[in-house]
Amino acid sequence: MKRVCLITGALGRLGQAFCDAYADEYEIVGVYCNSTPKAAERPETVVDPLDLDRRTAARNAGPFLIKADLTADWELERVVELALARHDRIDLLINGAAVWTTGFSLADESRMGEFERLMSLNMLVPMKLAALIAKHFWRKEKKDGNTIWRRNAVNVSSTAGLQVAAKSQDRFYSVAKGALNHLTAHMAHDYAPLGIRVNAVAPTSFPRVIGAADVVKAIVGIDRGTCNGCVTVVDEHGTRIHK
Amino acid sequence: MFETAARPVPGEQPLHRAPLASIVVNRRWTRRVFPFRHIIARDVFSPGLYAELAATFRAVLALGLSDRRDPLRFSRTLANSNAYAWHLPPDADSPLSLFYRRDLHDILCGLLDIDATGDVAASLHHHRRGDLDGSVHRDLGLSYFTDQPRADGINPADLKRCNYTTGPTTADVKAREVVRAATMIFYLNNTEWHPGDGGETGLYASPTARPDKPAAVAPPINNSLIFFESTPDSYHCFLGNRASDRNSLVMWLHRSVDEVVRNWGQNVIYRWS
Repeated sequence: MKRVCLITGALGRLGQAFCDAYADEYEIVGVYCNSTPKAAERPETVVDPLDLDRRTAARNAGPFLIKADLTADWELERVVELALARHDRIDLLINGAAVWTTGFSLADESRMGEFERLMSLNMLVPMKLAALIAKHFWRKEKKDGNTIWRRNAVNVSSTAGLQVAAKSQDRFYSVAKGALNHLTAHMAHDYAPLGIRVNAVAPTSFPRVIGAADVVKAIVGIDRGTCNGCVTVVDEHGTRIHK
Repeated sequence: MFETAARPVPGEQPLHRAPLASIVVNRRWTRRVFPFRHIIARDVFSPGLYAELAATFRAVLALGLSDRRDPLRFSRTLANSNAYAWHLPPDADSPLSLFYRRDLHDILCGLLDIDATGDVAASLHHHRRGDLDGSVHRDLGLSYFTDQPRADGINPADLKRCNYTTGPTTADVKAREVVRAATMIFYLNNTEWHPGDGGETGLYASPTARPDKPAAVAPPINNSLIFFESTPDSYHCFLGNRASDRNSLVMWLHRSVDEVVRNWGQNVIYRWS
């Protein structure tokens, strides 16, 4: 049986690469907001009503896409409800949605609204989404069910959050990703009693320095592995656990 | 019961009872996921069968409109709608009884992977020209059915014995509670539709969306249909028909209350006001 993956930012570079490479391995529920689906067959498929394999054709038509603004709490609830309504379970959560801003001063009061939105999507949403899945499914699962199914969450962070660089142009972004790394460690601790692992992947710039496929491969490696509370760095030097 | 466009030749099988493979002529139906899962299809049935369906619609409409419940005529009694409706009786044998066929029911369920009970409510809807936008709503109200299954097991609503939204009409009648699982709207007997004419079915991502700002629409083009699952997110609405009357057949499939509670919790189910 395929593992069910809920991925946010499904139509971004990372999400698209994941959907393209692993649609056969996962039942994917993809959440997107601003991106326009690049292939018509993703949100729209053609079916023959008189020749339908009920259990497979309906579900193997590609990722099940949900358009949602995840910074709205009711949208988060809707996403979890829809994902569970469609597949009855969520085995892997990939928190891939993020916004990125650069090049302005923290002393600029007029940009504070952008900072709040960035922190919300890049840091708070991964925490809230996991908590909602726990509320609606993981916490209700039978004893050891989450462990047997190797259920886990992967937060997509960035190398920008691994070191303090005062002159970085990615001020807000690096602050949010740094917070996400810390959050990952705390989530790993708090979800362990449920049998849920929580990890982060911290890629360098892609596709400029590495390929999106490298990041996807690292995420799938985390899903297949046993690590918990780890930040996996993916950069031009390879893939490794951040010490 | 009603005159149709062409009477079947004696000894020949009426079109509405023919195998679906011979009367469903468009085998390329489109499944969309935004703003929620739905199916649309045009040129659904063969021209001959469509003509019979439209003629049956006209025959009922010719009996006039009523603002009070009248089982023989289009009546204005619907929740969430300003339409005049005529309920297809459970013993229907006209071309419209096509929509009480088990094989059609099961195909629709398969398209959206729905486990339905076989309880079906079907009615013709007529919006007079100039009707305003409806309200954005979803269809998870409790519905009531008595058991009077047809030969193939489909159990149509019998409004003489049991009110669809409030339950049995007399104390000696027992009814079951179910919830709408899916809605199919088949458009027929309309004038040629053009953008700007209105009368579409609007689909919405949010219950707070303005009716005139749908995320997607299904225009009332003859011999086309829209079909969608009833979920907490399947918000939809009738859009005002400025140019001409708007006619359709609406068919509801149903699922058990338990399944709805399992999927989405008790709170999503409501009683019709």
